[in-house]
Amino acid sequence: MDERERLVTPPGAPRLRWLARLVFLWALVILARLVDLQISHHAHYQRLAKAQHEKQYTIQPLRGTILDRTGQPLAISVPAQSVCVNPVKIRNQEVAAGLLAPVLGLDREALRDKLLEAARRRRGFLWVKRKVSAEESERLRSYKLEGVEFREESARVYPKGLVAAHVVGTLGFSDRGGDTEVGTAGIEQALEIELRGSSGRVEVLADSMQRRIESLVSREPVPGANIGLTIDERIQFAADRELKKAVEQGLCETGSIVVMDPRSGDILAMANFPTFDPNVQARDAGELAARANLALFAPFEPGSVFKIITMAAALETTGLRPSTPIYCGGGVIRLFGQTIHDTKAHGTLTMAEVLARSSNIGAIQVGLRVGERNLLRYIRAFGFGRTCGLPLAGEASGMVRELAAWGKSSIGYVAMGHEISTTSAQLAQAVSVIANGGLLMRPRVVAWRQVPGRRRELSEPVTLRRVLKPETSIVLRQMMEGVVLHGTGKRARLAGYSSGGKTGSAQIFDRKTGRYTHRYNASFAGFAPVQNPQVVVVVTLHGASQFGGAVAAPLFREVAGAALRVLGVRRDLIGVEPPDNEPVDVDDLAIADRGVNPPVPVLPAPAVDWARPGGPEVVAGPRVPDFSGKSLRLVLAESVELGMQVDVLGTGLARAQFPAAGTMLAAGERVRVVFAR
Amino acid sequence: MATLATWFDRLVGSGAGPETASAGRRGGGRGGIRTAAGVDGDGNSPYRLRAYPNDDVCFWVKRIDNSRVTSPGDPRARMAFWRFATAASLALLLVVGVLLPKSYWLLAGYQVHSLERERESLIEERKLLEAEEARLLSPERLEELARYQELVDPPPDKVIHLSTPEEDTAALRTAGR
Repeated sequence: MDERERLVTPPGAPRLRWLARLVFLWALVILARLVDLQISHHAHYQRLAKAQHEKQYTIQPLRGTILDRTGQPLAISVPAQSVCVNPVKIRNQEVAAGLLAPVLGLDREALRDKLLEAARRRRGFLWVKRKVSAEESERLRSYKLEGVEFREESARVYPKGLVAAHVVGTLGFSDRGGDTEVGTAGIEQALEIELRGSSGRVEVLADSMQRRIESLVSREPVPGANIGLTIDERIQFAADRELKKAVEQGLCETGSIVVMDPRSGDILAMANFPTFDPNVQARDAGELAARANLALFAPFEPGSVFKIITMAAALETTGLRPSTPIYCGGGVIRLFGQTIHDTKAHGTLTMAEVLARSSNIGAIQVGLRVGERNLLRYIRAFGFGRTCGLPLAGEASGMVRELAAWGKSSIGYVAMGHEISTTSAQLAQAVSVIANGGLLMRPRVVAWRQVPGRRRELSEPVTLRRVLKPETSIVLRQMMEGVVLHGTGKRARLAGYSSGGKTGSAQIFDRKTGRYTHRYNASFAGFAPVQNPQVVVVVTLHGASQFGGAVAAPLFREVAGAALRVLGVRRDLIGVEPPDNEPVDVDDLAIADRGVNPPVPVLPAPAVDWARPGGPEVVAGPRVPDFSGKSLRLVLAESVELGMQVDVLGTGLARAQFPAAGTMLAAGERVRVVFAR
Repeated sequence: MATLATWFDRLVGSGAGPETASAGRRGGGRGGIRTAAGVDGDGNSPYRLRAYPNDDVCFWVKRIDNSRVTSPGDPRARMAFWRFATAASLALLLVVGVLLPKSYWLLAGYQVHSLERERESLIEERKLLEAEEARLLSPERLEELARYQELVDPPPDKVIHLSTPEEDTAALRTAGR
């Protein structure tokens, strides 16, 4: 250090230099640490930071709402909470089970075992109960239990309860696993993909407190479409109510009512009994069986109600007119060795009277004039023998045999509604042809679909074909009005409205005894008003104790009256009231007890055997095995092995099956298996 | 530096000059004898303080008029100053430009997500209310209420259908023909 430097250097300079050196060293350490963090272990720390701050979540789309034609929600998704636990975090499973079980209504021992098992296996997650009520959730939250968590989910609510339950359907957990519920019946099942929508994906940037700062939707969720049904909840309720009343009065065991707008094919109501509350899970096979949509699933021999098809074919293909006299043989006819009796010993009746009084002999005579080929052509043209095309799973096609399979006397039996099977929906479709001027409309239950934020897609009515000439349908309507005015359907007369229809009563065949029972498939198919029909109503009562004119016709009156009132149809009969206590001959039995050698029915439809689809009469096996408790895969494997076809309804394990285990299947007959969790 | 004591000595000293007074004080300081009158034989008071070194030196402020003095310009210093000012401004701008938007973004992010949560909860609430409304309007419940209030469905002859505007127009047209 020279003199000059010594003179200018302040006295504290060396200490400052040391400080600077220390700071420099400190900076070097920091730099080294930074290099370590940012370069050497960059990937590791980046991964950790991402895990802490960047998260990906699935955005569950909101399931679409199902509404009736007036916009009333029949099924709606609402937020709900589910309870889950981390069994590893729970210190005392016994205590936890003791706290959780009473609040959630679960079995304490079963829950404790589940918790212990999960803890033993070191599982970090276990559902305790899904979709708990707000009250349950609140109580559990107040306990502040360690390891108990709540997850936000959505629950499907059916605010109208039983109304249109069979059409709307239910949800259940898929047997493929996963936490998402899927439709297991009705529209919920048929339009599952549209209702569910598709999930989205969002990347979230959160702070250390997991408060969200920024989110980037990498895949937009598509919300489920709202579905507007053609069902009118008020008409549906009236149909449900009347059906329930009929069963409670002991008039029948089960039944179904279909109300249709003949002009568009819109199903305004589809009621079945027994019915169910879709808000409640089925607990046993009986409750599962109640979920069957009898109007679609249960084909039955229509009996005399089918005579309108014979008459329609006659009006179109022969020179027969309503006033044409038909000889009814004094109540007995021998047809290729078969003796068929009439309900009453009629002499000569006009064709209109044959229909009004439901003369079997008269119908056979008309059928013979029409001929097998023409009759079969018209039966098919009216839509029998194939499904209606409704978007509801499990619809039966009914049974119409090919001409080659007809016996010699089949023309007689088919003409009066035997050796053939149909569903209530098919009958409603056929009666609509007569009511709307001759057009076969495709029944529809979905009026529109709308994805939120997009335009509403309307389902247009579909005309399948012209079946009858307009003038034929007018004549037929008048003939059917005659049934109500002075025939077997007098109890179907409406106050203020004209109406037409046809009664039907078919004895139920008991497979066990091989004989016909004294229970009937009582039915009434009609429309109102006659001039410009606005509604078609088909009432089918299984296991009825009386004839169709006695039990089904009054139901038609009530339901049609309610429907016309709801639809605001002006009355066309002013000052004309249906007479009270008028003596009514309702005997329209197609195959009477007094008949000799009645044919073995092609398809008897006992009340409990609702799921038997159509098929030839040959009993060819195989014997139906017991599917209960088996998985879908096992059921399918077994059915393939036995060479039988299975209709699958729902998901989970097999809970109910039709026909029952041990029954011999007719050739081509299918087994319907109901699955549930 | 002259202290107050020095000035005091100068002003009230017993006729002696400042030097004498100082000397007296210094003598007292060296252990002068205190008397009852408080003044020893040398005239030194025991209450006087000892003088500090250079106590008798006085400084006077010299007024210098430097109003006409001008400092010569130093371009290097000015440059350094401007360089520092620019750097500081840039640094400040950088801090403000980087941190402020980031802060706004952060706060806005919190706000957006808070609003989103609120929106979701409102949608959920609306769904619950819709379900409740639908339940309250169910035909079964309405019928029960109607029964309770003794209301019945009107028979068809009691229902009067009001004509729609379209029908009125059609009727007028027909009448006009």
